[in-house]
Amino acid sequence: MISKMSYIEIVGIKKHLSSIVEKLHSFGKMQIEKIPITEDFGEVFLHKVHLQEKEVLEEQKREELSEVLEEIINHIPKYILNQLREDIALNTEKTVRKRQALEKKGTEGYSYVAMIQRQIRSFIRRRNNIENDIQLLSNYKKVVAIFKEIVPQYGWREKYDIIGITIDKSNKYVLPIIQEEFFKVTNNDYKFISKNLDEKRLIAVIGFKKKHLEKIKNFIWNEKIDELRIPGEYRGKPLDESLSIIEEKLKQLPLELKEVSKKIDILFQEDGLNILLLNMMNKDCLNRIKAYSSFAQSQYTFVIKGWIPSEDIERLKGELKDNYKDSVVINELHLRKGDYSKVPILLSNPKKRRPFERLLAFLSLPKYGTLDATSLIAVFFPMFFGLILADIGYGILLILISRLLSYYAKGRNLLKDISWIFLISAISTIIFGTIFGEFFGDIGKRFGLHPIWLKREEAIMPLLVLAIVVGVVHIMIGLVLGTINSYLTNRKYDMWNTAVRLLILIGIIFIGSEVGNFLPPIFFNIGMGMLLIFIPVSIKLHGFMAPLEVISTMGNILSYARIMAIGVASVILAMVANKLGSSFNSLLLGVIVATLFHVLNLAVGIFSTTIHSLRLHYVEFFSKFYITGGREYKPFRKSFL
Amino acid sequence: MKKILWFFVIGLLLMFVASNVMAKEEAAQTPKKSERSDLAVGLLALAAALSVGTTAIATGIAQSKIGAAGAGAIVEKPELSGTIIVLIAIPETMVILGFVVAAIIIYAL
Repeated sequence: MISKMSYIEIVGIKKHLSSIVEKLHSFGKMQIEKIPITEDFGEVFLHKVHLQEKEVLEEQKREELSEVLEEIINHIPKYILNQLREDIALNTEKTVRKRQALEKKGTEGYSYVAMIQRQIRSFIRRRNNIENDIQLLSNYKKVVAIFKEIVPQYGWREKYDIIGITIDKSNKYVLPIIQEEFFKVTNNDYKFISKNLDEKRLIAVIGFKKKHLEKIKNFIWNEKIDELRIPGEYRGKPLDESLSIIEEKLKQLPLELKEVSKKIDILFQEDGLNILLLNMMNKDCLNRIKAYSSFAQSQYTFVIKGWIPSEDIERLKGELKDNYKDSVVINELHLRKGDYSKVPILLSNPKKRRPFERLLAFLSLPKYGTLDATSLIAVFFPMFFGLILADIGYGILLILISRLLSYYAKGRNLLKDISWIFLISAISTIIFGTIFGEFFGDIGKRFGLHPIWLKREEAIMPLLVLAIVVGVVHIMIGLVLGTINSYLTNRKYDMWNTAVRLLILIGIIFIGSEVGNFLPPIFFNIGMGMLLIFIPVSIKLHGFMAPLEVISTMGNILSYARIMAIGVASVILAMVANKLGSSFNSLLLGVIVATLFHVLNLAVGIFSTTIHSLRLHYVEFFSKFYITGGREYKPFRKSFL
Repeated sequence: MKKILWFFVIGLLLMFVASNVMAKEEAAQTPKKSERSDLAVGLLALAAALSVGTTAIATGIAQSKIGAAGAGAIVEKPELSGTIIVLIAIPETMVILGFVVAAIIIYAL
């Protein structure tokens, strides 16, 4: 259900403005709207509210603090961050205690954050250095190993200085050019050997007399050639010794890296919650300061405009009256149907239906003044899910999965909601499983479980009829709701068009049912009569494209055949699992194979059943009535209320 | 022009009525399942196979294009994952209708 919203205007004496803003922030129900003021000078009655110098400074300071806090939060390891967010979402005792302590400290928080920033920066710098060292030393190790392999053969180390350069294999045509340059610089007094460094790069080792070092360096620098040098600390040493030092260091560095990471973890386990809470409190303050730009003022008064759920107006009026007597008043502004596109949408469904709002999150919000589809999807989604999966065994497993999800959800609302949707769908799966007599496919039948109504693996045609009937009912409900929605949004033309489409559909159903021997022959004539009357009416209303819409509606109904198709596929796969399991001589092996197959079938079943049930809603059902275009409701509220 | 179109629509409706009546009479004359020749049964089976096979290929082609575009979109905007998964399921209608036609060919004809 879409909550009724009111557009209000709060007018009061200017001296109360800051305390009113604080009050509205704590009240947490009003979505503030910017009051448009095109001129902020001259003889206009209302002006923008400008911040005082003190507030401007505070805003700057808080913006800077926000950047620092974000920088620190980015360094919190993910597993700690999730744990901390969970604590905040659950509002644990620890969270409340820390928040109260931070609120008492006030501006002392700045120096605390600066201290944490210094610490974390130093740890991160150290960690980056170690990671760079590991990377460099791994490269050096390769280079030294190559030097060691090549150099001794020529006895270079006594006479020559050595450098290594790396070149992409795709650029290897430059090697002769480089050699030519060395030829010129050293008067042909050099050694040059190239070799593969890795899959993409070549290494060239160049030996030359020490007196040419500067010229060669300049050449390499000017031509931007990548140099791979043995670091200074290893240069004077024999290559064997250098290699063993590098290897030793490569063993040492990961331990140091682990040590630094541990220190980072400890820091955030102790102070991470404070940082997250400070960030939230800081954002609250910033939002409060920024809100002033949406208000307007005259010489002595201020004006605040915004949206509030109608049920909360009286409470807000009462609170303002208690605190400010008559110096602040609330006016409820008249809302015309033309303003509906501006109204923010607050969905307020009963607690048990609320999780199903998640299934509508893939679509835009409904327009204000139209129907909310949450209750409908809360009924039909589990129904379709159960109808397709329909297996007692799978239903029981789904309940277990749902309980596990709920256990691990803790503060995460999304997981909680998904677990609830699964639970309801699982119950529906068990109910339909009982109707069709299925327990892990045909295992139940082997132990005397019989279908109450249909044997799905055999009754393909009755199941197809059932799916189509479900489609007819669903689409007809959609068309009825479409008619109502058009009426509610004052679109009379669409209303009549949808109603006529519904009547044509009923006519076709009468004819089809009579042809299929489901209804007495008289319905054939009634159906024909309806078509003869309403198709011309539809063409009159909607032009010659109208019959096409009816055909597309028929296509929508046929699409419900997927309930039968996917359902039959699921039961047959379950039977294949059982058959495969029972074909082994070993009982244990048979059970393992059958279990694996059932797990696979359940996973595929959950996935495809969810997707197709959703699709039936989004494409077939909602297209008949759901009108999108609502704005999200974003109340001006504190992070902790 | 409009008069012609109206005439056309009403004519179509009347044809629909007449064809339904004729179909009923024809249905009474259609041989029973057990009386069909092997060739007829084979042709029906081929028709059912073609019904599922061709629609499955069409679905595959459509899904491959949506899937490739969807994967690109998810890289840019991971929050679109749910919507893309539903979009990929849309062409499955073709193969499901193909399956339905095949089921009708096998069980109802």
